[in-house]
Amino acid sequence: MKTMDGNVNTTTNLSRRRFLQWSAVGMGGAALAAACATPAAPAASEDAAAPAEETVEIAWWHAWGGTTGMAAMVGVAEAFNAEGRSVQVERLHVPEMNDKLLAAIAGGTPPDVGVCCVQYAQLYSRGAVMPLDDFIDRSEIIQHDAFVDGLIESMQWQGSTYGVPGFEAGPRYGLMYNKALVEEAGLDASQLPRTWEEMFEWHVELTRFDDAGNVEVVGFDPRDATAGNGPATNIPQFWALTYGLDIWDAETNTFNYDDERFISALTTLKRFTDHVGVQQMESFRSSFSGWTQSPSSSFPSGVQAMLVTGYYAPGELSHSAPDKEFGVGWAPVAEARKGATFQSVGGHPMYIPNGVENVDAAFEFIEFCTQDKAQNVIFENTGWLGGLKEIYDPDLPKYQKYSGLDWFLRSVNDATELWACPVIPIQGFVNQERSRTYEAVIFGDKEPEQAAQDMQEACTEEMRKQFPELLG
Amino acid sequence: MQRAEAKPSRSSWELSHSQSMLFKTVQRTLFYVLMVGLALIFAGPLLWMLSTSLKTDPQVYHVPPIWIPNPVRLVNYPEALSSRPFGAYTFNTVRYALTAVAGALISNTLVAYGFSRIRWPGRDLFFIICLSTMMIPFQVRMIPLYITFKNLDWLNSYLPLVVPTFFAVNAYYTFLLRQFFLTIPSELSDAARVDGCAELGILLRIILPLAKPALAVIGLLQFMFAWDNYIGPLIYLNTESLYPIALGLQQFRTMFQEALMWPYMMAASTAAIAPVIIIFFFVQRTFVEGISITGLKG
Amino acid sequence: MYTFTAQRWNRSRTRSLLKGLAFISPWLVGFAAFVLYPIAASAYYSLTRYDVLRAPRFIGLENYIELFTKDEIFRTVLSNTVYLVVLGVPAGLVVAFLLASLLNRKMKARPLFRTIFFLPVLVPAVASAEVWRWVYNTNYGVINAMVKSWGLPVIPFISSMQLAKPSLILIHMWTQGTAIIIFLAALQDVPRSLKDAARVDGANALQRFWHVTIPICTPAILFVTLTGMIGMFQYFTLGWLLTQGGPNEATEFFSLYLYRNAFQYFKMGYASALAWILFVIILIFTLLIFRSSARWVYYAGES
Repeated sequence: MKTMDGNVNTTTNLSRRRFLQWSAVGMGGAALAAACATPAAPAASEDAAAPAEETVEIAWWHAWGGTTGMAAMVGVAEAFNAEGRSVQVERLHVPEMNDKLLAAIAGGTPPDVGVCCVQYAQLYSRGAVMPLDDFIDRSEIIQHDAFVDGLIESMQWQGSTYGVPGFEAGPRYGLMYNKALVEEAGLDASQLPRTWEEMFEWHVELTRFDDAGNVEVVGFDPRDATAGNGPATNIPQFWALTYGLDIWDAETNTFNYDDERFISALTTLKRFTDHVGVQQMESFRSSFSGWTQSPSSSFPSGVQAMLVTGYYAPGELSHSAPDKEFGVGWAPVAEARKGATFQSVGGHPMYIPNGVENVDAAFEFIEFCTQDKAQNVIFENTGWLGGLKEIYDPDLPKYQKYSGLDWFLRSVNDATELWACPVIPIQGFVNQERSRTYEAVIFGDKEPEQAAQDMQEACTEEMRKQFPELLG
Repeated sequence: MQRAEAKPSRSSWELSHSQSMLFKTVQRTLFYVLMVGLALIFAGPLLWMLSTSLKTDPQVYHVPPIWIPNPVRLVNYPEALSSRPFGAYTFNTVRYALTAVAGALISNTLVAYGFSRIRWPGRDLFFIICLSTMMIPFQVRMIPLYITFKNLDWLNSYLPLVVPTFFAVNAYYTFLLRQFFLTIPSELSDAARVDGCAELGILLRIILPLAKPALAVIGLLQFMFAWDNYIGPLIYLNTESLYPIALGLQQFRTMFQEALMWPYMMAASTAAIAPVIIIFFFVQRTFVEGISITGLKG
Repeated sequence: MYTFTAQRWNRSRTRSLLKGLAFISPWLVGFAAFVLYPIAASAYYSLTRYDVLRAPRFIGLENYIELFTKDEIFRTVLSNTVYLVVLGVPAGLVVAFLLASLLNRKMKARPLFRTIFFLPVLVPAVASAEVWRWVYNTNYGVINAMVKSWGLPVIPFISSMQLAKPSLILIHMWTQGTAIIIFLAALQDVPRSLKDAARVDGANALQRFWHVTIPICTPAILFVTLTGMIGMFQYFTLGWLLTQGGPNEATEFFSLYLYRNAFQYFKMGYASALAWILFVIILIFTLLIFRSSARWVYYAGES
């Protein structure tokens, strides 16, 4: 039986580290059968058994699932394999990418290509994935400047490019509103609120309570969809941006949370919540899911009037709220910035982990994914955009399917500001800290000034621990 | 209800025969009302799964929720199950689960016997060490464990999931079996020992027959664990055709809206738990009140 | 027990030691092969700054010092977790034991009832989470729809800082299938002759339950208490699905925080320190319960 063979194996295949010997002695000298390798070791070569012919097989991991998502991924892999190239791709659906990818990298067995969904910046900054600039420079298919401004910048760390936008890229910010609710409240949709001051007036007009004081319709939830950022790893921090603040300084690797503008943003966030009542807002949020994907989410089901969200919303709403009409315009900004229109095109990088053997083959697949053939398969199944400038043409026939999508496409060219998502090497920590800060403020645990200062200190301290060499 | 009101007062101790019959009937009725009420609460999620698995898409999201689907969309089942290779996933899962059950039963029987029916110096210390392996969260053991299996060259197979079960690494089962072994009167094994029976003989001939309910529980729990195990296969397997059902079900999960996501997911999930329910049904049959230990020959 | 001469005593001790070790040898091998290294490695990681992607850097006790002196979330997490364990474990235990006793009675459709009460641990967590989300929903949930129809303010359940933990404990009381079948198995050991004897002695049903049934089941009660406690200290799935630590960290439990550190922040060293603190806490609780068990657990095989 295999069991026994395996067991024999345990005792013969030893490569211990010093601390282990120590621990084995310390724990009573029990026979140590567990072998181990240096955690960050390069990939082992033994599993690169070359197929009989000269085709190279590469492993591609993705986290997206669902019937349409799987169809898109399967479709892309099939289209690639049908091209008769010397490279064949084997696709793997990995529903929990963080767990598996970390283990695989530690074990020296990462995939050749990965996409979605990890804390990308954490991979770039820790040398877990390869710089791709040389490949891009040599490529006849993709160039650095072929992508929408800001997009490839969000995949760069200290001057090198670690990812190529392949799947699901697009404009992240539009203020969408429910036309019927706006009309009922007697508001003029042709004069959308442009500042937080005006936005608050709309919020007050649109929010409705029943006789017992329970909220029935919320005007605007300052933490829904891209306003709250959710777990997103490729969207800038909305609230700071509306005040014109970039919370990350890539030159000095420091944070800008201790800024008047961030404090003002927190104050505004609290103001919107207080009008509804913090407990009511929390209950509302936990009763209805956010974003636009589900018909029982608050915005599609018609109990929330306004939402800041991305280009995928028109497509999702056509499924989740086919009976309702929605409009879209620029997201509001701070009073002092009245007139500014901003946009950000975020996307998921395709990356190649360090230590991968078939780098050229892996890059060939990445190239393929950025191009029309793959992008059409993806758009048809999921409605996702890609990253190349040329596809941001609102008049292309395939984009006419969803009302409002053209606004998002046009906004990329019309915006006065096009922001790149900051590449923060402690991204996961900062995202969680941001949610905590928002909650501490709206629950009244901290004054905005205090919360901003604490956030600045916590993030700075974390940087100091994780990347002492980057701080002066 | 009228009969219930005729309940005799508690103070009158002298109940006529018919009154006492009536009392019993009322008591039994109340008991069943209670049980059915509780059962409805406990069956809630399964009913919701069943209901969702038969819905059309708009009905899934109806507010307030609809419990009885109309129309009933039976075709969700074949559609969902054929959308991914569930045949292969089921084969992988059954093979894994059955091997793991065998492993857990064999190894834990031996180890639990050593921890309960024999007195030896250091037993309690070893037992505490065994228990303590449950107290370190898997999240921090996962990566070193992965490296272990990588060095054994066991990745992309079920070996990392199956082999350890033959070595009683899950202290939960060892502990459970130990507790049951300890309830068996020591006179039984002492008598056998006097008769010259070796320890293994005592285990096989005396202890195991008496521990059937406990063995059934361990078999069931290990089966369920393997059936649902998701993080292990996720980490160790790199080929989709090797995936178990639990990972197959994950493929329905998505962050964006799409038609029939919930109905498909719930149809596949309902189909996936059906075998476990059937196994449970058989396992619970070993729990028949009134096995009399003292009545057995020692 | 051992009343031999020193020499024979030693030989007999050695023999029993060897016998014991022989029986537990599968575990000894498994422990050495699959358990020891991961545990030792995590102990070492806890003394390092380790993000999995780069080599660990030894920093001594810094992670532990930071956890105890600086980390405010750690304090919240600790008190949330202790709350959950102290209230949740006994609540689950009582529910499971009562239900198992009910399900052990002779009744119509007993297999069906047993299956139904076991169900909540069988259905996938996402399905349970959806059902409970609906039960607790403040807008159209089964409870709040009624509350609203009476014109009262809704009960916020999982969205309230005060009610979130009790609401999760309620769900825990309902997912007791495993404990129920363990108790069902244990109840098979209650000899009918003993109950009959008690009945002859004039003990009523409650007295028989208290003085016969419970004592016989104490080994199983100890098991469910201990493993329930160990599991509760590592509570994760439904909390992750339903509240994700919120509102305002009211349900941020040990394992959630540990997971965030390990796999979202890539702070495996810090997460390992958290794990070892958890280990020590659980071990202390375990030893206390074990010590007390000598007084209340009855083993027929240990007399």
